[in-house]
Amino acid sequence: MVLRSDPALRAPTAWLPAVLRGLWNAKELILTLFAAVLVWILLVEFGDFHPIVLPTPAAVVGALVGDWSILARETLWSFYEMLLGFTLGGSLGFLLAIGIFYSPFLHRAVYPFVFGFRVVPKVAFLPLFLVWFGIGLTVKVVMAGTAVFFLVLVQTLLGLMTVDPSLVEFGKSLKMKEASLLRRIRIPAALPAMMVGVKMGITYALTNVVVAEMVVSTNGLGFLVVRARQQARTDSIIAVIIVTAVVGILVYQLGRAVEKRTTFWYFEEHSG
Amino acid sequence: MGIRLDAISKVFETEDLTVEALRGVSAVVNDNEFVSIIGPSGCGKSTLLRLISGLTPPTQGSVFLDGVEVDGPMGNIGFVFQAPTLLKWRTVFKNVMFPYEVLASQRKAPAGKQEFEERARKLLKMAGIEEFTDAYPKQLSGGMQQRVSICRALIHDPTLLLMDEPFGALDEFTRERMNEELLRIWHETTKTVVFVTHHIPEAVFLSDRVFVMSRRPGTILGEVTIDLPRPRTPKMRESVEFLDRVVETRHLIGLGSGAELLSEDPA
Amino acid sequence: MTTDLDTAAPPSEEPVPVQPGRSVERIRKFVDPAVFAVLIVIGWQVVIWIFDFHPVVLPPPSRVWTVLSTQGDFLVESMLDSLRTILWGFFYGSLLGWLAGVAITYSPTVRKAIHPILVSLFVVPKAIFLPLLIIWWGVGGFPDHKIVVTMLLAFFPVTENTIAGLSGVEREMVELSRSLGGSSLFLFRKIALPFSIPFVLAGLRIAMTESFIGTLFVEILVPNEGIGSRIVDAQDVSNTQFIIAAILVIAIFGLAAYFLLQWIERRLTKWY
Repeated sequence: MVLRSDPALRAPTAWLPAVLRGLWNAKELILTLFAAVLVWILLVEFGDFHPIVLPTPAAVVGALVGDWSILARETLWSFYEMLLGFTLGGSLGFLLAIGIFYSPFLHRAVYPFVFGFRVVPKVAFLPLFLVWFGIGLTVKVVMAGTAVFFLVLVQTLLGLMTVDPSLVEFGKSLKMKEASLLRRIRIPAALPAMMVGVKMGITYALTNVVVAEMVVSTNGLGFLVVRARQQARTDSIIAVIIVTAVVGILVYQLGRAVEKRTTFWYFEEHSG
Repeated sequence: MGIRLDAISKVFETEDLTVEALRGVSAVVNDNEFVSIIGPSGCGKSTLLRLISGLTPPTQGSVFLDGVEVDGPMGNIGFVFQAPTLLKWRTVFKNVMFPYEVLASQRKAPAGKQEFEERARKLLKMAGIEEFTDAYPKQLSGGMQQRVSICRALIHDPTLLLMDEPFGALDEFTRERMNEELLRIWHETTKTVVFVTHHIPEAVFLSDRVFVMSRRPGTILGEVTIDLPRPRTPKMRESVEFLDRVVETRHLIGLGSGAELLSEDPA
Repeated sequence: MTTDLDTAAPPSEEPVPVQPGRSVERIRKFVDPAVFAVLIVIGWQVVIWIFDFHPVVLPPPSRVWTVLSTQGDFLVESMLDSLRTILWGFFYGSLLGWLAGVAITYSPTVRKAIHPILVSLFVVPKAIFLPLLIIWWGVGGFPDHKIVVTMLLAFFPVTENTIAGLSGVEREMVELSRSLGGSSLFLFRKIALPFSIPFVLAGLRIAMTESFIGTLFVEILVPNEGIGSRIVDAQDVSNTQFIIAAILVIAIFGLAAYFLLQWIERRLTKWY
């Protein structure tokens, strides 16, 4: 029996207070969530609502447990569509940003339109995309991609245009060629701004995937919620909402983790 | 590396205004000489450095480095900017190695990677920041960051070092210490240095000659030869000879003892 | 967390004194986008000639123009229907968002109890709530389900920016006010509130864009009135030119709202 080398066994006194302190610090949050569930139970008990209007918490847990395999499968679908759209839209946005950066004509001519369409809700394009791409995987990928495209484009351009000019001068003093300057100085220096686009973009991509799924209704979390509504299964609706909320938070945390990983050198400026 | 400036003028034109930064600047800097350029803010000192480095072309006149006319960055120059301008996404060591990577990618590296890494370690040690080799710039103070950028400017052993107010943001104590360190490095690796500053004692302490420039449009008002012995020591700052040179420079700028602003050609 | 996105606006177009000879740049700023627009229309037509697309898939520009010129009134009327929802949702959402922001900034209890939940909800695809909302809220009435969804989207950016603005006041300012014997209310009214205005206004600009998204989303998913529903009608009868025309109308109104808010922002924050 090896006791001394196992930190989990050796130091229960170290992690237990930390966990308790964490719970104590979050006591208000825990109380709020607890109160919400309590209100829910009381409403069900004394409110005499039809289960279609307000299912019991137990029913929702039942739906979560009972449908877990379907929920997991459709979550993976949504995630898959989101990643495809993210990759596609992100790469295109990145490339066009570099094009606009180097071409004053593109900057003057194309950027106003990019800017204009950034303000248009992407959901307005959905009917048009349905005509063009049908009701398969493509339309959802395109919807996700559109959201990411604009965000990554705008943020990459912002990053490239605000690179410290003396960094570029330093590069030029070493006789660096523009391609090398772009790869070794401009893009890394633009990374913090780009990553804001990536972080927000991945969240928007998930939103747009869910919206498209609710309209197209063949798979994914959006499909599940619409189907539950058609079946008047409010417990399932709430179960899907809970899963979507968790997925949304995880996706955002994923974006943040990527941001932290790539731009850790940028944050917490040290003041001399 | 010797420098010759031949009747240089520089005019900047932006959308709204035209600025004449330099007018008819001629000067010669000898091989292995340490020269300072001093003058009021906005007199075109930094512009002069950029012209020598080839980062910007002169509007009129020419710059010659070792007799060759400059028409773009030369590559074998070390440039230290006012701010440290470190690549924040690289560690201190990788920042210092950056010029090597650029030269290697152009197949122009004068030596192998290992040799450069050894040089980098030596430079960091000389600058007293060897324990921060693997730190990121954000973990260093401003003074230490500037030392890293000096190491970076020296790594490829350039024959010309251009420094644009490198110690401008430092406090007086750190500045004096950095002055001494810079001279030590210069003695160990003889090269030509052009040093821009608006701090008179600093210019006098470091240089063989100090060029004094006028307000915009920048012209050279005159030069002060600093014939103090080398190596220079902190003690020298208190000597009469040192203070004499400081006063001489002050007068040339038009400061002190009620001296009028001198005519454009004091000679 | 949302303000950094909005710094992505194009370089400010401050009035610059006109210099003879340099006005070419300024003219090109307007000519180039026009040239690009013409190029797009020509390219669009050429694509139709080459690939012989059916008008349902890609109608020629002339048909879109016909829709705009003959049904322009109808399009604008539908847009105004949507705009009513957008503005009500924007108004209520921003108001509640601002109040929540103030409460979260000044009450540690509220902050600990609610802020983590709000931050999490911010990244959850809010479309997923629609089915539940319709069950609970019903369709129609005032405020109707569309306004509620719009509110939900307008709420978060204003909350986050209000918190950022109010808590960004320098400690020196607070100490100065206290040393002069200022009360907390005085501090709030005379220092924190004015200081937070630019942040809140930036939040409002994002909230406006989000409001467009919210209203359009509900109109497309649960069609009854508004331009989103008319897009769905057009899709049902394969009237693609109408969809494109409607997107253009939405873009124009969206940009108008954006620039109106930006103009107000500039007027109110000259000191900043």
